[in-house]
Amino acid sequence: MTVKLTNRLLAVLVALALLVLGVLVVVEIAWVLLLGGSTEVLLPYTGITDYLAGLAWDSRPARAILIGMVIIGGLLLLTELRRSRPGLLTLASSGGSVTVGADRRSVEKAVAASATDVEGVSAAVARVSSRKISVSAVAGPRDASGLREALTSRMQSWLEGLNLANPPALSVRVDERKSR
Amino acid sequence: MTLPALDRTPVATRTNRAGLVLLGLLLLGGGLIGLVVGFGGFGSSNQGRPVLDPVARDFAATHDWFWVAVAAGCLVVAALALLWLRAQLSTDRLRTLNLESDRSRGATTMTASAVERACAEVLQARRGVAEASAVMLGDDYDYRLVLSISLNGRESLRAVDDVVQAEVLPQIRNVLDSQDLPVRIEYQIATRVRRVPM
Repeated sequence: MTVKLTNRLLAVLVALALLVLGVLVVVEIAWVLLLGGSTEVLLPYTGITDYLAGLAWDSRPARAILIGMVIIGGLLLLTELRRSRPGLLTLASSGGSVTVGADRRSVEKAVAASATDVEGVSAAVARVSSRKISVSAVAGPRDASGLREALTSRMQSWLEGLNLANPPALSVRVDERKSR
Repeated sequence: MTLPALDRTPVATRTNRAGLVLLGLLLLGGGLIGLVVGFGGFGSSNQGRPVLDPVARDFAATHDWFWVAVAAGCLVVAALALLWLRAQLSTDRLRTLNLESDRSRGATTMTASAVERACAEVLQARRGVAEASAVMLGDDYDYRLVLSISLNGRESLRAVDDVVQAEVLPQIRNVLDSQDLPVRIEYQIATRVRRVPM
């Protein structure tokens, strides 16, 4: 959702900039070619062209601008082409014209909450992707032996209760540093 | 199996992604080519030349048709930018439902928001449901229903889903006279048991 909102804001800004710039360039050209004008109307193009005419490709300012373009372009491509995480985990009760799913974020929160219900777990976070459900738990101050097995068993039965169509693989990690 | 998150503005999402990918490619490609020129990749004689070459500047100054072409290109860019802005206003959400499939017999319509409100009320009255909302997407003759249901943790997901599919969906489909209405049901799992308001 955040990527979509950022995209929308960015798209509106870029589209507005292109629209304004496109219209201004046409106005400047029409002013000079059709109306015989000799000065700038709104765009300070003389200053820009003079600056570019004095800027060599191997100069430091030119390289700084070009590196900036590469970084911004690369970041844009990485953000746009990154594969987004699923929105819904499909349930087995889907069929025919009915698609049923559990919201991924709510599953992550519920898995983490269910993990902290296991005795000996002081905190837990969960991350759900299309292939894997990863649970990272922090063990409490007491002896953590057998905690991973107990947590895995609890998580497995919790996930079975969800009735997912194709349950992702479960990965459980217990951080025992704080229990020592 | 997984599904992407529901998108109520698919046209805007696709357009924005395509536009920003194109912008990213232009910036990355332009920047890389410029850096290659600056580091002598196209010959050492080119790396010290100005970004705006005097030859190109003279050519532009002596050929009016060049500026006419630039103006035409700018008009195309401005028109595309306008279409891009317009795409932000598009939505897949349905305003009215056409209940009469045979156009020769006239038109019977129902506001989609009335159906959405009714669906939400029916769902919220069910045990195990904390909140519910419904939205109809598509167009007059090809629409689908999306139900978002937040569970309160007092009933299992399976129990709530059984009731929704066995009792609520047939009721909605009967009202809309559409037994094969495509439906997407999204459940928000409860983290803790929520109190039921008295």
